Amino acid sequence: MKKSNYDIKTNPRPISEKDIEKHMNFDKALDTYTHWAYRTRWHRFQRHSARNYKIVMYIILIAVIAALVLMEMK
Amino acid sequence: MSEQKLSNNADELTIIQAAQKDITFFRELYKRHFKTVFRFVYTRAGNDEDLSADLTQQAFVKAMLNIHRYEYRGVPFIAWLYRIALNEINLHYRNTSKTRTVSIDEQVVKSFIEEIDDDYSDIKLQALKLTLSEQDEEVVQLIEMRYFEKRSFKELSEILGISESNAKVKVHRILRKLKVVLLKKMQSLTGEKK
Repeated sequence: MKKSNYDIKTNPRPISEKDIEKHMNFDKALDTYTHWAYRTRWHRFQRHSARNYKIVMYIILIAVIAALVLMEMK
Repeated sequence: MSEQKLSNNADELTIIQAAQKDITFFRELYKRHFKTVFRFVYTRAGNDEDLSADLTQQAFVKAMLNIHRYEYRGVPFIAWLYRIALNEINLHYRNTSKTRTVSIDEQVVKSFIEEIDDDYSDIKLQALKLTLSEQDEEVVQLIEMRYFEKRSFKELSEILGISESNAKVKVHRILRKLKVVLLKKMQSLTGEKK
């Protein structure tokens, strides 16, 4: 007889809405997200960063580079 | 698709777009889908409430980290969440090397058995359990989602990351194969009883 790969449960006890609601915690998920997303200094350039943040950061970066180039030319 | 469903989809898309710009808008998506994803995980995590809560939470954090990659392809957002949750479940079982759980409702299984072998009997249910316990992960996942949870092929394809036609072909082949194995199992079970 082949080895069983699964534990098969018949008619499992359904979980109630209230029991699930006890585990709902968006703020905790947001904390974990923040820890992962903002763990580096360059997080604002990373893909998961909000689009408007990325755009602003790229504009600032371009402005700084342009200013440096202009200063060098003068 | 009904009018209400369409407006719900449009409404959800707006929230997703907002969440792609500012993650705090994800709260609404979390509120809407947490319970459904939890139940999806719960049936696969051996009805362990705490484990299901951890895996569901991890799935939502992954969804938040990857929300910028989400593109609407005509499938509800929840299917994308199921896919992430399924990956989390697979990862958990791979890391802990515990035995996976498949939860089956006798009423639902009845219709499945009738589909592959005309009529239902207790011995067939026993044979089906034995047959399923020996199958590969992919086979069990497809049967679980298509027949025990009554999901559409489109949803199946989105959750498993395969094309819709591929999902249809796979399910058809699995059914044919299962029918043969189930018959053999029943013969051996009735032989044992005699």
